[in-house]
Amino acid sequence: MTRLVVAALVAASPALADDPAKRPYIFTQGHTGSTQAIDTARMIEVQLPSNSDPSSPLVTWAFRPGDSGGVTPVAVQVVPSPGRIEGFNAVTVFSFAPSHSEDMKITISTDGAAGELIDGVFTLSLTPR
Amino acid sequence: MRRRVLLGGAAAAVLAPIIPDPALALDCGLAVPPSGPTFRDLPETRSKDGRLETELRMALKQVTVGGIAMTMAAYNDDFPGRIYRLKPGDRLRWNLKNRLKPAGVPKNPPVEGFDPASLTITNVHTHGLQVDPGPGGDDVITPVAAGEDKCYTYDIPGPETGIPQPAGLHWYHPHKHGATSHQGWQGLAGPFIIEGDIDRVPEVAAARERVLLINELLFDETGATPSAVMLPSTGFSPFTADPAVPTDIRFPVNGVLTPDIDIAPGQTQRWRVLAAGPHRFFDLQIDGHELWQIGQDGIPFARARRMDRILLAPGNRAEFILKGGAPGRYGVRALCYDQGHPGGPRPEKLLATLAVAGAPQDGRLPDALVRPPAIPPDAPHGTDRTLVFSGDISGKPVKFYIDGKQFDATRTDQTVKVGTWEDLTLVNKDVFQHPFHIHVNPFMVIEQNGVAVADPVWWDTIRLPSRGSVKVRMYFRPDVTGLTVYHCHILPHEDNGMMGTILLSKTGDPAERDNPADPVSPASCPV
Repeated sequence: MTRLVVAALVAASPALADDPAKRPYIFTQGHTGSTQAIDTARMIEVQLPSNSDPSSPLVTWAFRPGDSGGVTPVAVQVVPSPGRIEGFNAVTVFSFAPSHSEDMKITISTDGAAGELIDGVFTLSLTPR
Repeated sequence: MRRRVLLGGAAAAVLAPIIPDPALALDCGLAVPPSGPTFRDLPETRSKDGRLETELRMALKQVTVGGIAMTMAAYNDDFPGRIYRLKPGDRLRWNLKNRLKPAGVPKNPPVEGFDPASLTITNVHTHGLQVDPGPGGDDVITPVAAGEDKCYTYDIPGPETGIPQPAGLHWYHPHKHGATSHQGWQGLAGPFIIEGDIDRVPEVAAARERVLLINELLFDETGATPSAVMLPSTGFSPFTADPAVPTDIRFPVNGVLTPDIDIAPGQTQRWRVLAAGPHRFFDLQIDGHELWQIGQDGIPFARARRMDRILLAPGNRAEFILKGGAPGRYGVRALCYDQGHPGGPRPEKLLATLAVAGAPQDGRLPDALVRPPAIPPDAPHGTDRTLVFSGDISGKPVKFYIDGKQFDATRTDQTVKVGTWEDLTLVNKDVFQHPFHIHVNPFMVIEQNGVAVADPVWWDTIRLPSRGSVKVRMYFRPDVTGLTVYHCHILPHEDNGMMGTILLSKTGDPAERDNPADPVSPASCPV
């Protein structure tokens, strides 16, 4: 398994925290299967419910580069969020830098434990605006 | 603890080294700026000879908040709404003129079945006023479409009723089911001040009055509130849209972001604070200062209560006396607070700066205040009941329920006989806290999570703790009947189903709904 560390972290500076011009597009499990145009000057976030609590089925998500394109994965964060959705104790936040010219596709999948939520696969198709 | 890892590569994502994530830090202990914009008192209109008649025109408005140009909305071009100052026994009549137009419509096509123009439909609620909820009164069932006018009349209970409207801070805001949160995020809200007994308490009368309306403005990259299906998210902005647009959020006070509020050392001021946002709780603290609370939700206390902080759920009002401390600059903060939203606590926000300067004064803090309202000792005990609140945010749209049901205006969920009292147990099945609000009649909070509340006071909106319960004691005043509602005052929850109907009945018979009283307003207003 290869790991490419991208140094240019988005939103890593507190100075950006109050700058509306730096806000990303945020997609959640409710957006799966969506197609839309975006301003490619902004980043993309995908937020999906996950679970690391061993007392219930584990749910982790993995970005699928082979089924994706036109985006550069930048970071993933796991934000505790216990009890908001039954069976999940966190939100996994994927950050991507968009392509500036080509169509984009994001595929993120899980091992099946989250299958009831969005069939275990999150997909998103984006075009530059 | 938040974790951030880096990923990338040719195969699947890889969990990698954990590093801190400063951008998602909670920002507790925000620094107070060396200077800020000037605090702005809201304009006001006072009743005269027992009457106040006005137009209430709703329209989009271009504003600049914290240097950001926004397309929000306003009543009568005031952003936020002006103060209407009234007395018990007054009659308020206004002609609501809905001139809203769609704004913040995403460039991508809307979700199937969603019409952005639906968010321009409105009505108006007089939150806290104990007035007729029927047609032409505090009627939140009847919609007012864009371009339409509607006349509303409110007879504010006077001393002759034996149960006069309590003196304090109340407010008006839109209440069209499905559009309430959108219009709240556009800044549509304004205060009522009911004058009365507590204003004559010498220490209260001597204090300089300040009304603080805290908005919660949610906006997209164009500065407009998205006209789209909203979905909860984690991070800097608590909601995203479908189709997605970049969103951000600001919390101005009287339309000004982080203003300086002047006070002299030793001076007393009477702050009336309104949490007008659709979603955010404000765990209010003023650095280095005690808050002597004199009223909650527009209803005065018997004695002032010393508080270090006051928690305001959406819809709550708190009134307190503040005494200026040593010269300096002090943060007026909404502390980090976990209200159950996805992603944990909402971050701290600096709402304003208390700027203490000038010649010292010797203001006096109050102790004894007034006699609060009381349930008549001979009022009969009605039927105690339980309401259960639950939600599901896993799908689109999110869904919220009371007793397993989403709102249906044609269904009568509860019927009570006016003139009776009852205990209402409110059970929250969720991690999300739900501020329970019921129209017309306030209640006393008597238990929280099964523990009796010492020295209970009156509220009209109370936070239901995460996976907990609250018991309230209600008295249904005998002179107000008709159909009204109760709901969660996190307005995205209300818009997505968490509301029920309640019939205030003379007889206790649900069939009374089919024979409503005559409308309290004329078909068209003279104003």
